[in-house]
Amino acid sequence: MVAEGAPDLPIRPRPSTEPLSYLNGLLSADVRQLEHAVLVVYVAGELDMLTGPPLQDHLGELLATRPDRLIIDLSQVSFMGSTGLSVLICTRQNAIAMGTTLQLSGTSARAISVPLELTGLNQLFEILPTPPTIGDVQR
Amino acid sequence: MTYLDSGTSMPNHGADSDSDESVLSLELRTTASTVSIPTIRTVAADLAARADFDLDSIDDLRMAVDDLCAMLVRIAAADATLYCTFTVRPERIEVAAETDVDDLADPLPTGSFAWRVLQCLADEVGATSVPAEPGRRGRVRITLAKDALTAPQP
Repeated sequence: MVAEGAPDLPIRPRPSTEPLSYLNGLLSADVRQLEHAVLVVYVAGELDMLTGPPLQDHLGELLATRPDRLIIDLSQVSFMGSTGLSVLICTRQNAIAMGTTLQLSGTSARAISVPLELTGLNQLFEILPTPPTIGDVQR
Repeated sequence: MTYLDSGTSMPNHGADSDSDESVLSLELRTTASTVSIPTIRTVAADLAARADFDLDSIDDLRMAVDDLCAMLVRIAAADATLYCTFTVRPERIEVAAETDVDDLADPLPTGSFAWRVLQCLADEVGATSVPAEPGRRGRVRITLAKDALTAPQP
């Protein structure tokens, strides 16, 4: 886990070779640091009732480090049910409480865009037009 | 997980035209557990693909069935079984799922976020319940129907 209690020190980047895999390989979440206190979580797989709760716990742990900005990239998510939507909603509330700016990216695929639009959540979240790149990951 | 054809001795859940050769009926019986849901929604999508549903309708049905099963699993009694019946008609798939519940109050999840999502994804949805009584479990049944073509957006 990244550094705690020292918000003005750079957070140690999580090594890119340390993806977090959940439950039968159905979902993984790879965390990268784009710059100081800006974290990107690359979620890949199926986001549902089975994989949602551990992802939500993990996002909660990341928010507990009080990053300035947390970006959840969904471009590799092949399925998202309403339980997945509730993970996003809970994480948003958590982010607001922590003073973190929460953004989504990679929402253009139909598996993501339809549930977001049906529920109006696309209006609630700040959505980046393109997924963030990891080219400028701080070493 | 059990796959049953319509010709077996499982209870008929009300389809009156099962003798019609153009109608495929398939029943899954699983534990009412989150681990069963990915398989059930995959079966739904596979049936829709084989019935020549367009891609959008397949996606919608996959999401709707996931939603339906998630709602039932959330309220299911301990060790309950989830029964899921698919009826594939020309241009239309009907899904009925039910499970036992312990709740004494009306257990229908029709006010929930998941229910609203389900209403958006499916062409028809319905739910019935028999609340539990002391010493007897209740039962909740949710049905949905999805047409092969996505209705044009207004």
